[in-house]
Amino acid sequence: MRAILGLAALNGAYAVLGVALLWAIRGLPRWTDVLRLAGLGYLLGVAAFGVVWTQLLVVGVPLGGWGVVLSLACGTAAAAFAAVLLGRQRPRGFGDPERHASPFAVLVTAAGVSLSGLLLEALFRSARLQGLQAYDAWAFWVPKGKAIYFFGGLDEQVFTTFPGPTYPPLVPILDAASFHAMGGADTITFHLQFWFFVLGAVAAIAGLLYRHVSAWLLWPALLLVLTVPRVASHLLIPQADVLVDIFFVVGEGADRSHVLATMARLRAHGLAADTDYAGRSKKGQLTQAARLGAKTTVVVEADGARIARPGGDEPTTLEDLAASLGA
Amino acid sequence: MFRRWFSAGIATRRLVVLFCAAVLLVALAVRYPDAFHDANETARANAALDQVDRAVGAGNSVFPDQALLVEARGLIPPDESFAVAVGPPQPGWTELTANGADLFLRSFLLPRRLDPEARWIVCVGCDRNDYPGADAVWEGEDGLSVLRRES
Repeated sequence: MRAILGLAALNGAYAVLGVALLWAIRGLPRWTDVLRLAGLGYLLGVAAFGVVWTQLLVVGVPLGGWGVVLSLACGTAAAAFAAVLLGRQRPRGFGDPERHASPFAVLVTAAGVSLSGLLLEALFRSARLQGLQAYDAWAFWVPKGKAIYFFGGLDEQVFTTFPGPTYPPLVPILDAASFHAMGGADTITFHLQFWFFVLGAVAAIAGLLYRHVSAWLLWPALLLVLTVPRVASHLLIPQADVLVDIFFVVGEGADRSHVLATMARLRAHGLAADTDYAGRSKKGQLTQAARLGAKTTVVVEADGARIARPGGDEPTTLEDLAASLGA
Repeated sequence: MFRRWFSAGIATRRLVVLFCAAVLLVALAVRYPDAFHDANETARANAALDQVDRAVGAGNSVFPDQALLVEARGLIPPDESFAVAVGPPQPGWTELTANGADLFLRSFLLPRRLDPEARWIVCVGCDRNDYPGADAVWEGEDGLSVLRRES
């Protein structure tokens, strides 16, 4: 229970920081604006915290429990101070003069909120007792978070010898902050942090589109996004790369270093490329590619590579593949 | 009302919007119950596991016996380091044991650091003759053990 309360407090603090930033950036004339943009504020708070701590860790500032508290408190105070300096009015009153909802829209909104709430409640129970299962999560995302939590910074051994050493540390920083909030590296309850991200994202999308899209279009679309298999099955997995553009299946005798170099080129051009690090069989790797929903699956053998297509494989080389994708 | 809705000029656009909304609702009617059911099933399955199964997580797929992980975490003090020695595959190992044991142990045993010269050795089917003077502090099946040598 203490761990859950700690996580709730941490995520509440992210939201307060983000709302203060929004107040400074655009002003929040009414309390309904605060409520409407609380989700966006939460995501802004999470992003600001992660970006600032990425820079602080790079210059050697240790991330500890007090560091998390102080950075959130100072960030919020600085944003509020900026809002006052910029002459932003304090939020006053309720109601939304720019939106006159019909009874039908209110009904649809109530149904949408209820259905989203039901699904989120089920996801909460699912995350509450979830063990660490996803390969990338236990192989490097969470160990990096643990390293920041235990050692206070970008530990050289963990950040250079675990897979994905070039990945940005934003997610591990958020993991480490959640470990501090829970009072320990509890990799079970920690999945609730990702539930909070889902909650924040739903609130942000609904809040941003509320004034611009009819309720009968907004809520079915939002619910469908939450329930499509590719998203629903990945919502609570503690890793950053939810979507995979290209998955490399590496066969026996293939030059793995060549594959890794190609992946680095693709990643440098913003493509999410992944491969197997767990010694799976070729069949297992193909299953993994399908499970990750990879847009393109490339099978690399000792004598060449081919792109897996439903109607038949297409021969290629890693150079041609990278060039065709602009890398 | 319908005449106004489908008046010339905007009828096509409105029909497209209605079609999209209909497709959306049908998709939602199919997907929502499935997603809700899946989330509940996962919650039920997670609740049915014991605390060790949850804590070990993917380690259950990597190691033939989770006791090694529990014992290693209990025996090796958090401020000490450990070495991992993996031998040839043995009957009872999963297809991930040989290649995944080292990485999983490094992840699972943090803040204990990996050091080939460490006093503690997590032996996964290793040849104990390679570690003369090391005593087995814990021994399991399938070649799993935790060794400690004099520092």
